[in-house]
Amino acid sequence: MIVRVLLLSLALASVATAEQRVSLPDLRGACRFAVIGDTGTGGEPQYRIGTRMAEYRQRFPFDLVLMLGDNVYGADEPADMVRKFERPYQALLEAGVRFHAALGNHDDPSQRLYEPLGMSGERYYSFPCGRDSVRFFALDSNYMTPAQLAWLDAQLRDAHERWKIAYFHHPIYSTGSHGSNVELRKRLEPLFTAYGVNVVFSGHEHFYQRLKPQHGVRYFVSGGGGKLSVGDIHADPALTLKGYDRGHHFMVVEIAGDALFFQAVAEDGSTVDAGTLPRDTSRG
Amino acid sequence: MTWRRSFAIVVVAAACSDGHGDPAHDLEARVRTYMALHARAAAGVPPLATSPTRDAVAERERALAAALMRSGNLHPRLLFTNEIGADLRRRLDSLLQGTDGKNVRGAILDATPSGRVEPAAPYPVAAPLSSVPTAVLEALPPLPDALEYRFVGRDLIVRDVDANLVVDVLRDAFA
Repeated sequence: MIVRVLLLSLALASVATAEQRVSLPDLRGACRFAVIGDTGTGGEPQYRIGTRMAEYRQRFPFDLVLMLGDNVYGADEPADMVRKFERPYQALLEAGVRFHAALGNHDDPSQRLYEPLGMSGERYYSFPCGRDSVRFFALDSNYMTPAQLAWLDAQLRDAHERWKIAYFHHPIYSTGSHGSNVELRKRLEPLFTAYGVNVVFSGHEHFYQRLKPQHGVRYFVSGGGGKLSVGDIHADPALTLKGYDRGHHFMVVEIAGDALFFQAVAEDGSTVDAGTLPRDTSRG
Repeated sequence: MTWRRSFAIVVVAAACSDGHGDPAHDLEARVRTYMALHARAAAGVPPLATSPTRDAVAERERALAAALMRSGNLHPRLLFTNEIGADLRRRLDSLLQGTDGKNVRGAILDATPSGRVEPAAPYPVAAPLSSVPTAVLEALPPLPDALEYRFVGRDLIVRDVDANLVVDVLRDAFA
């Protein structure tokens, strides 16, 4: 099955247009989502990324968007929510795409009450995607209480989905100016490895980075959806597989069966990274 | 007797317990007093709908903060008396030693907001919030969900989440 899927994805990639090459197979029943982080500036780059995402969705109809925190910078009055969230992603919202946000350090926790951010009033929560194949765990890395850790432990233990994906604002592996949050890693990594979490997405660093698997878990940093820190990726071959800190970006991901397909797309529509991650079946 | 006066009496009584018991228990008692004040203020503010608009959330936040500040019961050292402050500083000092402590300090100081906030006043609307590592939350006396510890520079604050209000400030909480 995975060989067929890989061959199909290669075939699709070769016939797509050069400007906006879709690297994802768009399989029936798949979980399809986009990922953006550190978006809420209300500035032109955020709007351009939002437009690019809507264009991309014409070819690859993703159903939901994970937001990795710093969803709104500065004031978050109603007019700010329009300018820094509703308008940049208006086409997606009108198409019924669901957003599910995690809180960043620039986000007032009261954002959890704002329905379009899809947090259901909670600072941390989980939800499924696809045909029982994926479960997401959105965490509040700003305020990682013992209660939240206990909740995550129970949720991961009881999750029956093949893919377990966690996302939160502060990366526990990163080579940017913020760097790895080692203290948070100490708390989360044992849970991720014990319960077979497959992939983690984080923001906070204003660039794209795909990191080498750490104890079987794959890590992405995707914090360039509105903010950008040019040249901020510090060289570290021990950690980095791919990095892009020259422009804004978003990610699109598809999960089908035991394969995860990903693509990081720059503001001009070019692909800065793409690939397929097979699920590590030895981890359950 | 107005509810404001009765709460003032309770607050004064809590203040008089300064130094007469375990600091953690003293803080717990003061937090309970504040939460009673919070509940009383919240009762006078319209509740939020199930899926409130951003307008409604912002308005309720302002109304709750205004009611609490109007009560006349908020003041510096409402929570952080000298003894409680000394106890919290000791806890943090102990926590931030060694290699593990260095990581905790790094997590606190990563993107923590600078500047100065005042007790019994709204938390600045456009200011980010610090991260508070789990180790800090485990080292300090627990708070109810409606309150949270945060840092502003090296100051430790207690923030009322629903009101976005700084309840109290402990200056220079760690070195």
